[in-house]
Amino acid sequence: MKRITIHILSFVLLAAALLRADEHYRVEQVEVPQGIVMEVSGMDYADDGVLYLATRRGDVWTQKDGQWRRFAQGLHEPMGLVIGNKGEVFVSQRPEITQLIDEDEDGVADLYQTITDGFSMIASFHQYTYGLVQDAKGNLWGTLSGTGKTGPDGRPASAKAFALEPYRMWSFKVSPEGEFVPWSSGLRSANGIGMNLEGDLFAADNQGEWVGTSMLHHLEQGDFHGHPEALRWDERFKDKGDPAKLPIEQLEKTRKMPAVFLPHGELSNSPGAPICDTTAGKFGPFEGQFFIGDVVHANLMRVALEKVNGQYQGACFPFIKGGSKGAGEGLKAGICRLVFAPDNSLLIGRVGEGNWNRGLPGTGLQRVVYSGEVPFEIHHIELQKNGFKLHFTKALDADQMLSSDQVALSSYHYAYHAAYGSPKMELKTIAVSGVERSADGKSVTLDVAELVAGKIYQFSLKSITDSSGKALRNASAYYTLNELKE
Amino acid sequence: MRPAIFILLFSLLQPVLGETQRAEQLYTSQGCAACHQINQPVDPNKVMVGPPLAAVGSKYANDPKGLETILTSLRQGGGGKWGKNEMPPQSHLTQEHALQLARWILTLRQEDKTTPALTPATPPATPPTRPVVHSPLLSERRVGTVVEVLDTPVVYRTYLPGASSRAIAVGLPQQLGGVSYAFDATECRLLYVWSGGFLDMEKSWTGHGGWYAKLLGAKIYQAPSHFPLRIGKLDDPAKKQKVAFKGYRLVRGQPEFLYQVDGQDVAHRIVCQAKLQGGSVSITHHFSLPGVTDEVSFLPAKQHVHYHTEDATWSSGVLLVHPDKRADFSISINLKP
Repeated sequence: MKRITIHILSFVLLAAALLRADEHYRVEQVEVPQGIVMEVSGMDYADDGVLYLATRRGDVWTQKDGQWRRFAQGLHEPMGLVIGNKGEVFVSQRPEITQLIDEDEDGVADLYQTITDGFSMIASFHQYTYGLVQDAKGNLWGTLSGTGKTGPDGRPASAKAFALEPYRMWSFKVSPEGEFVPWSSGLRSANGIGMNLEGDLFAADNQGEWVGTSMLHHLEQGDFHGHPEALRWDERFKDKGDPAKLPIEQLEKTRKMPAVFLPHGELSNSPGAPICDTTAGKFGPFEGQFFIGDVVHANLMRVALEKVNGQYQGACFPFIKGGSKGAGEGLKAGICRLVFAPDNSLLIGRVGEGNWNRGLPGTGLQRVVYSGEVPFEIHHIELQKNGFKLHFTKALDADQMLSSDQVALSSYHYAYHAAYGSPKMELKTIAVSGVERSADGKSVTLDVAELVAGKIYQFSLKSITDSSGKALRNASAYYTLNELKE
Repeated sequence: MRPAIFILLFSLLQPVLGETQRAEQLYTSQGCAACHQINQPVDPNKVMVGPPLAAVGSKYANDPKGLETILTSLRQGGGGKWGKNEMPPQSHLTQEHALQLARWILTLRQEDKTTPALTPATPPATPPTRPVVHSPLLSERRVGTVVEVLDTPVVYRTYLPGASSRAIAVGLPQQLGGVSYAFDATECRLLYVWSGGFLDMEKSWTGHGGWYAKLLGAKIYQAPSHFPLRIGKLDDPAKKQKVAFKGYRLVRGQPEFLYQVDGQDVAHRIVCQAKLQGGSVSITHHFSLPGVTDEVSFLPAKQHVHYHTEDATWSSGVLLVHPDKRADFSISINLKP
């Protein structure tokens, strides 16, 4: 009898723990019109609260108060949409960057104005024009994916990507005057672009050849992010032959490391566009951090960056993990675009069956709503000279003894090579020699046995609770260490 | 005794069940699901990147080298066994995960072995019905991937056969001629006109997408391969004009193409009238060149085509636009059936 009671009790506790996971963030379905294939490839809100939403089938929809209307038709596989500083509607479609203008103000665009087509494109399944964000000066930003070798029937003939046309595999800027400026190179297929509160640009490249795992890059002018094909269009490498045949040492020297590696399989497979939390705390305590969804996994990740020696690096964390195959309740796969709604919920656009996720039903919209109750999470990780300082969203339980046993730490890296993806290389356990709680209880400093630049440090925490006895909502983290602290 | 047998059985079964579940988890978490379904009847309407895994399992079920073949494909990549697609090496898989997946794939069997062929031996009595999407929110009808023009023009940018990669298809309703035409946004000119249906977007909308739409109908007019407008004196044959596409404006649903010729703005409308007397078709180009001062001419096709215009006269083999009509003129082409 006593045993049964314990079983019932543990079941109740378990159920309570499961419910607790939804206490902070709730995933909801958002209705889309019946009979429309809503493969969401770009979205943004206008100041009047109207949602503009682009789909891979070439439509742009508007929605307010549940009323849907088609704003534009017949775009060539748009993969980005942004509402400009003056309320303009910009889309990035395969052949060009276009402004959609409703001249007679009847709610439907009349003028499809070419802003720039200053880049090459051919018929290739893999040539996407990803975007878009606009900065304060009115520049538009996006990325061009590599060319996929395509068979005579239109089907992919190879998993390799090429950049035989300018400026495939580059990020780009479009000035307010419409000038196309190639910006940084070596992005295999960075599906979307994001800007942080400082106005710095980031894009998440998708795992593949030369991309050992998906990774978030900080895009600065002239950067080379790793895929050598793109160097064909770099003045420094012009007339130097096939860039893929350059010595690996030279490529490694030229390459800028990503700000954060997104572990393949565990967190990501095909990340979409990063969105910066601009809600000033109305979506939880993560202002200025990035959220990224994944097209294949029903995952939302969170990225918290810091600057070390002037360079961005930092950690990624699981945020919400959903069901598989788009089935069941909760978060579903196909996540391509994210945008914060006027009510500070996070709207999720699912691109679904199409390039990446065929066979899985994965279109439409969901949203994540914050309850207002602060979750107990690792807020960010700050590199120290001899270890890491973990900052939490809440104070730790003051009575709890902390020991190094509560932190499982390992390090590894991904190979930089022409092959498709990479396993974790030189994976090893790193001893944690010291654990110290700060006076306010909101951070913990870990001294570790070794710190090596170029490694990813994977954290797994256990039995760490806040003052109310709640466990961490997500207990794992992955810190990309490019620069050591002086 | 009985409980002991039960426990023994259970402990024997459990690892097997666990392995399947683990492999199914790997199937999702390691990205296999992006390209492969587990078990699925072969559906020609649904293009998959890779074969259903049950088909792979069935194929190698009695092959002593089956496990090795699958493992090699996972490690080194595969291609050519099932279709034209290559699978990249799945190098993110650990040795153990690859083995778990390969073993699991070998246990899978296709549910219906009688219909694995892509083309059935006998055609079905009734063609498969395709989903008709006729949302009141759309002004065209989408039947599967086939796009039908209703009572307003349809303007789709896509890859079109015989066009540069930047192409625009326009489908006109019956009252506006009922034909479709292709405009090239690189060369800024009409390419061809076809009659029949509009487009099948299958290669753009399904699978990996990014491929040519199919014209549903027959071409009834092919434009000559040169850019037809000449701004400036004709006696300078070395002069090469630079054209730049600037977009289009929908006027009552029909596009007015906007481009520049050496910096001169051009607005270009194309009107098609089909099935006139005796089944002929007429194509009228309306050009607006605001503020133009230079001489303007229209370069005709070399082959015999009947042109009609009141705004220009023949001069040295071209249609020279009257000076007072340069800012706004029309030229029609009449095609006999």
